[in-house]
Amino acid sequence: MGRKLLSELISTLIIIIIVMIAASLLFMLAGINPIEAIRLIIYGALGRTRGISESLIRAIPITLIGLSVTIAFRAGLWNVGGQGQFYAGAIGASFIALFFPMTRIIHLPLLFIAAFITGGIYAGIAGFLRAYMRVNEILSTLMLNFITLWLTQYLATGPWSDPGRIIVATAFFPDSARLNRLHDTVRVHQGLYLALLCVGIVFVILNYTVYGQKLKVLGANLTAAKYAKINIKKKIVTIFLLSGGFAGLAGAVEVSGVYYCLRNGAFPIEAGYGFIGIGAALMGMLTPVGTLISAVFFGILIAGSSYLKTVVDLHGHTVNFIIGLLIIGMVARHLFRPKIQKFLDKVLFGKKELTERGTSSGS
Amino acid sequence: MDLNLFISLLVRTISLGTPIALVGLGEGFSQKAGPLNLGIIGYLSLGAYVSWVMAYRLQNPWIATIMAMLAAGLLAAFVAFLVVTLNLSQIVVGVGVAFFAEGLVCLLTFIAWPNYLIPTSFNVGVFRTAGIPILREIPFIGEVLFGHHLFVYLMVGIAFLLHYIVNKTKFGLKLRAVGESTAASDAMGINVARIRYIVIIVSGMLCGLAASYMTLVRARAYVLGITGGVGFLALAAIVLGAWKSPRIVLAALLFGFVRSLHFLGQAQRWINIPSEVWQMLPYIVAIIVLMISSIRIGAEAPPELARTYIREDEA
Repeated sequence: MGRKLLSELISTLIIIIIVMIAASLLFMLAGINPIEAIRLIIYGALGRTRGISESLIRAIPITLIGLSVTIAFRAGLWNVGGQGQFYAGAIGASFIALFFPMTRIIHLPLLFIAAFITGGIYAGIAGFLRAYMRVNEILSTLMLNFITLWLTQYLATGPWSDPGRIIVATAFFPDSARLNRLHDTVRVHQGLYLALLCVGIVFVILNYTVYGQKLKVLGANLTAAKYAKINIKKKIVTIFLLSGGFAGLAGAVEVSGVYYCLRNGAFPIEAGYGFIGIGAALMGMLTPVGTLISAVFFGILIAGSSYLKTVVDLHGHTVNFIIGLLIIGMVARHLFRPKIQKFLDKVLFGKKELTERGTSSGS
Repeated sequence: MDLNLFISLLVRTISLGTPIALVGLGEGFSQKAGPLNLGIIGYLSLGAYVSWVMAYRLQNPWIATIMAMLAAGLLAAFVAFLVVTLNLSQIVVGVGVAFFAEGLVCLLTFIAWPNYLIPTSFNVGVFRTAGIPILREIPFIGEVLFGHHLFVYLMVGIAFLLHYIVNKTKFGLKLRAVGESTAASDAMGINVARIRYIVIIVSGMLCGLAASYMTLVRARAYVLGITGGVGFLALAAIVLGAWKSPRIVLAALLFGFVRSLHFLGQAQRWINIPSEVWQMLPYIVAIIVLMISSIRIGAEAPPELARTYIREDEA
């Protein structure tokens, strides 16, 4: 087990280095000194307390959506609608925050429960369609992404908008519906604790519950799932509900921790956290802890490149080519990881490859 | 509603439906043999950029279109290498390539025009002439059907060509066999990898054509993200069209119609419906369409859709 993990880490590192070289070449093509660019990215993301805070702010929603993706993909369900569920959660949270003022101790939890439910039900639509009407969940979740995107814009510019504000948005949430900042000087907020808590919850669900075991059986083998007497249709719907719930929480931490309002156009859909969350989950090998680590990595990348933007006027989505290469690299990693493991076995652990010798002499 | 408005609604339906149809035709052709390309979103962005930059440099929209098709085809060939030769997951690679291409296009646009000062159609060799000379003079029918750019008629031709290839040729027979059962086709001696490479590259090239149509013909402008939404609607059009080329075109025109209702809704103001509702309408229609299609033709999806095929001797 330890050797497997070591080979996973080494192969991940190799991919990151290859991607960084490719990124450097492309930066050079743009006439940007790659070493300077990487220095600025690292300085922007980690150089000061503020940089670290900005990286973590981005890592929080990416972690939560990554958990959502982890749950669904582990069950073999391609929920690529994290973006739509994110908006659904943001809408649910804003609804509670704006229209049901009450004391903080009830208001905040209620806001997150509402976001979990709206995100979950929104994903549940795709789950229901998949389970009972055989609608491909990739297509349905992709389409659902756009509906809440425009719904958010409609609510923020129309019925929920506050005409007294300079930007087009809802009124600011009352203090009882805001996540506190961890320190006065930085923007990072208590959502960080929520993200860590959720990592723990998903870890327990996947590894120490019957539900998690069944979920993994469903992902590994449909026929086996039938023999294990798993009610597949019901299972698919509940997995989508759970998966969408975490993506909904991501929407809630954004509105109640960063913006304190629901506003339009904050996260363009093509580059939104929804799809980056997929990348984080895949890079994290579909494990909760791995997802957390990758989300922090992506947070650093995004925060750093938005700092880069203040120096070189590159479009904010430019960093996506690095993320895209990393996503592809992470699946490509499985091609050479076993070889690294074998190499490690030989060099570090001095084990002879008994199994392979056995088969070759046998055949 | 007056007649002129009705005509412009139908004209818009065709011009908005054409790129969706072109993407849907290529991607449907590919899905018939198994591969699902979520990377079409990336091929479209790249195609849009290449068509605009080439039309600016060379002042020739025809060469620009060919370059856009080649660039998108090249990116698709890279995807084919990843999903066919290396057997990586089509969905993961698709998402990755969509990201990669979007970021790459931002960077390339920056390289071509620092500070994103993108030239307008005034300085770019866009397509100017449109329509079929005599036919477009016919009242109503001519105005609706024959006032378009050549690419619209080319799209119809491509639809019938692909339909013919899939259903009437030996290559089409093999292609359908691969989409039905990859393992069985492989056992029969069909070169599965070759067929999948071809369909993925064709899908990419048609995305390049669609992107070029969007920048050089319809919008006569280029902004980052100009191709947004078309790829997703094309995926829905394929399901509605039941993987049959002529039906995919009709499905794409339906989405074109729904999108052009946005224009009508604003022009007429006959119902006080907010703009956002018009914007989300195509996707609501798409979901309803997916539901209806699944009841009616659920079994007609190629059985090998989105599955990775690993030969037994490699596994």
